[in-house]
Amino acid sequence: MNKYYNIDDILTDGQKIPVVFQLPVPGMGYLEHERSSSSGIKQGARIELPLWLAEMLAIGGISDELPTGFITVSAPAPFNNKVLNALSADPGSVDLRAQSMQFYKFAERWLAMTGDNALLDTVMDTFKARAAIVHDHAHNTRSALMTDRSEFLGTLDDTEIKLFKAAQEASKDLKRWTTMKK
Amino acid sequence: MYGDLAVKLVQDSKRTLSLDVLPSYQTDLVNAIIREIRDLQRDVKILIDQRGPNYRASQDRRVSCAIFVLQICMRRNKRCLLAYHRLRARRLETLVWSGFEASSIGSEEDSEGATALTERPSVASGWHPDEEEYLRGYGDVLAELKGEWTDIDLTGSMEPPRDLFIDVRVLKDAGEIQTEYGLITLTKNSQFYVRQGDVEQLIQQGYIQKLR
Repeated sequence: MNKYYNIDDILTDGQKIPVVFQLPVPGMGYLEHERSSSSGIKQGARIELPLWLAEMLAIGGISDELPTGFITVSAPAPFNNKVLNALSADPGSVDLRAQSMQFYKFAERWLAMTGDNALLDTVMDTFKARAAIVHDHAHNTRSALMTDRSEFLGTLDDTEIKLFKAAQEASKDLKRWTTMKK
Repeated sequence: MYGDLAVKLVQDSKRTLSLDVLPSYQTDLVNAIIREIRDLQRDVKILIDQRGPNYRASQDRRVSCAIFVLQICMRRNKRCLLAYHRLRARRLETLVWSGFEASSIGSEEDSEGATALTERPSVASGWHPDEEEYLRGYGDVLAELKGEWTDIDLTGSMEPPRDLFIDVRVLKDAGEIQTEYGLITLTKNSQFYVRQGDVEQLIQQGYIQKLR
């Protein structure tokens, strides 16, 4: 129930995935180009569709005549090999925000659709490694890595930003509590 | 592309999450999205009519795909609209719980005073009349709930009081109040040493500021 109204989930649904249409569909040219609504989509056309559309089309169209469904989906840009290699090499150096504002939530949805174990392991390790760095930045306002700080903070995706804020609040509250007057 | 307007609305919601003040209601955007839903529905009707009375979705895959897409777009728009309104409604409810007075909506001279006082969000004009209606209705329901327990103020401050009497400064003219120690006239910038329980309500409403 919570996922329906959750703003971040709605934003995650807006992420785009490359798909291939398995059948020609008339009158839906607007999916491909902004203006032309009169032309149709040819069979085998490659288009980028948002997750809310792509997921339903991929799952919903399956029948005896068309066992592959209306479309087939392929891995979106944030999860291609280049990114995954960079992540397994050094998680802290990859700009997750440039890949996708909702990287982790997007990964969750993609993994739920496809169940790619390699991706799962990489994303989990990335999360753990980056969470440690985020935590460090949140607690030390004058860390040794001062010059990298604002750069790194600019590469955080939405989930990590929330983590960062939570860590900052926590350390502030702790300081306030320990120095509170009786 | 269908759903783009809805994305704008959701981005506004995302922004609202981090703001203290509820921004103005996006009437134009909401109306545009509703128009889009109507257009989509009209397109679906046209597609179904074209096939005639013998149309069955399982038979013609291509048309059913087109209708399916339109249907999903409608659902997406609906979801974005609902999420936007729910977020705003929740915000209004929080406002009521923090002691916001429905009567002070839209009055400009109150808003500067209000921001200076407490950490309460300042009054924002630009709300939809239905939202103000909701605020009032919810306030009434809450008042009814509070009325059941007169010993305790459910919307009062959560911090335990330090002293029995406190120093206060008056920020706005509020007339006179009756305390057990007599009548106190509240004129702007005057200071009083009063019992905490009496002025608690006035502090929440923003007429008085507590001095540390």
